[in-house]
Amino acid sequence: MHHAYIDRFAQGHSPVHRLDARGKLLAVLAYSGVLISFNRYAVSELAAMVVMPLAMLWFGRVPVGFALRRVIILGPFILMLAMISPLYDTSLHPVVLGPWRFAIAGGFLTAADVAVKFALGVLALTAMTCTTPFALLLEAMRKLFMPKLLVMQLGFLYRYIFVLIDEAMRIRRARDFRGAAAAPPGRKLAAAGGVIGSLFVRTLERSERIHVAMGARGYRGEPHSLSRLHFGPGDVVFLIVTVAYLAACRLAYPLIL
Amino acid sequence: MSNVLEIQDLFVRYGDGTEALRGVSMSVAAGQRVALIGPNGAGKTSLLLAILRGVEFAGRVVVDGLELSRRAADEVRGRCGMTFQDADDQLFMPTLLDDVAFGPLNQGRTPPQAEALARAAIAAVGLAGLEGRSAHHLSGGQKRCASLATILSMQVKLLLLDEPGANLDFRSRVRLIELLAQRSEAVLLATHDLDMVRRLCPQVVLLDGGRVAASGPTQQILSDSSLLSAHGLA
Repeated sequence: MHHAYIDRFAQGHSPVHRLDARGKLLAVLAYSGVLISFNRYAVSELAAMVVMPLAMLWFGRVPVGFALRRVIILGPFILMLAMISPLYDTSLHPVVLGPWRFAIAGGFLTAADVAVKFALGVLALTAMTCTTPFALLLEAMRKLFMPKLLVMQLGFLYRYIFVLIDEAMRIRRARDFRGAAAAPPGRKLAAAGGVIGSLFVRTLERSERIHVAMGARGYRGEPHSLSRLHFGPGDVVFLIVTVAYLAACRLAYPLIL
Repeated sequence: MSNVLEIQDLFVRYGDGTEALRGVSMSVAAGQRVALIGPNGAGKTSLLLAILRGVEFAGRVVVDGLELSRRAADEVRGRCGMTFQDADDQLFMPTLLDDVAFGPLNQGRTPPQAEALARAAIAAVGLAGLEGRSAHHLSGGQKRCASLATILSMQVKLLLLDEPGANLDFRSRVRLIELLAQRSEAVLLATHDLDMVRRLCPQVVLLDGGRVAASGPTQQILSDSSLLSAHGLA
């Protein structure tokens, strides 16, 4: 796994990239809020919600296929949840599909609802992270009064996740090159424990070294940063359009149906 | 020439009982480059950490006329900067510009001042144009230069460099040496790289077992093969 996986499109120069990170963060938060507010049995009502993430990806020049691959990669985690829904919700609900009208167990509708909401949520998040450098997202979070400690931890996560993955890969390679693959299962398990333990100790030691490095440059617990955000008229228009769109998505269906 | 660093009878003992330093005394004059050499475990890194109060110590450390104490630690850290063996430990902010501005902001400079200092330091180490990059988008040599920029931006009088040439290829190493040779700050350089020492530092302090085994002009120390051999350096 490589850091390009996170940053691949974030340094682009599209109109969406030029939008202020705060505006995009607020828009995606509002989108997520509206998304989860839909009734779980009304899956078809979610159709219009696909417009915003796709528009952000399109105008941000991020390939939709790339975003869909992320949905697929993360899919198994949420599909496990979706699949158990039919087991506990057996109430029947009417479904209209063109000329056909039939009844289906609510659990299946819930499963479809969870899967669709998950896919749309991941698409929206991907659209935001692929059009905003992570440093600007962190700054936007700080400016929007998210807890400083949380923002700082996210910053460290972004900075060190791949360092840790590389470290784990090196340890694993060292283990495998000494014949771990041919070892009996018991010894493999013991070796895995050793790898995890070693990684934990190394991580702890690294965190201590980073803390010393921060202290050596005058850090006293209060994070400071340079400000590169600029909220302009274009961002106001973006937020107004987003709010209008979300309101239409949420309110239009009862009017149409 | 006044001393920018004075150390007298420095002792460092770790929690497990290891005595890393046992009565080290030395000094570095303003603008002077001094190499700290010695075998693994000699106490080189511990000495650098003690100067920034990164480890507890006994003894007397004076940086630019200010005696190091618990209360004065922050002020001392504003007068000297340290780069670590692993550049990934040094570069912890999301972008290079944020990383290099981190020190100046903590020194109380305004964001515009900090940004100007950071950009100047980045340009000085030859990384102009990479300000928005994250450290994980930099090569090993670039990370070393970026680490140096993080302390140059603080405009300190003393640079503490722990193995700055480690894991660098020939070209990156030569570039780093040229870069350091141009600086006017005093440098205390802990390294195993004797060639770098010859090129950069007129003075050498040889540590072994937490004690100063020898000190003097580089030419004299490094030409004494029996001394180097006795301390595992040849």
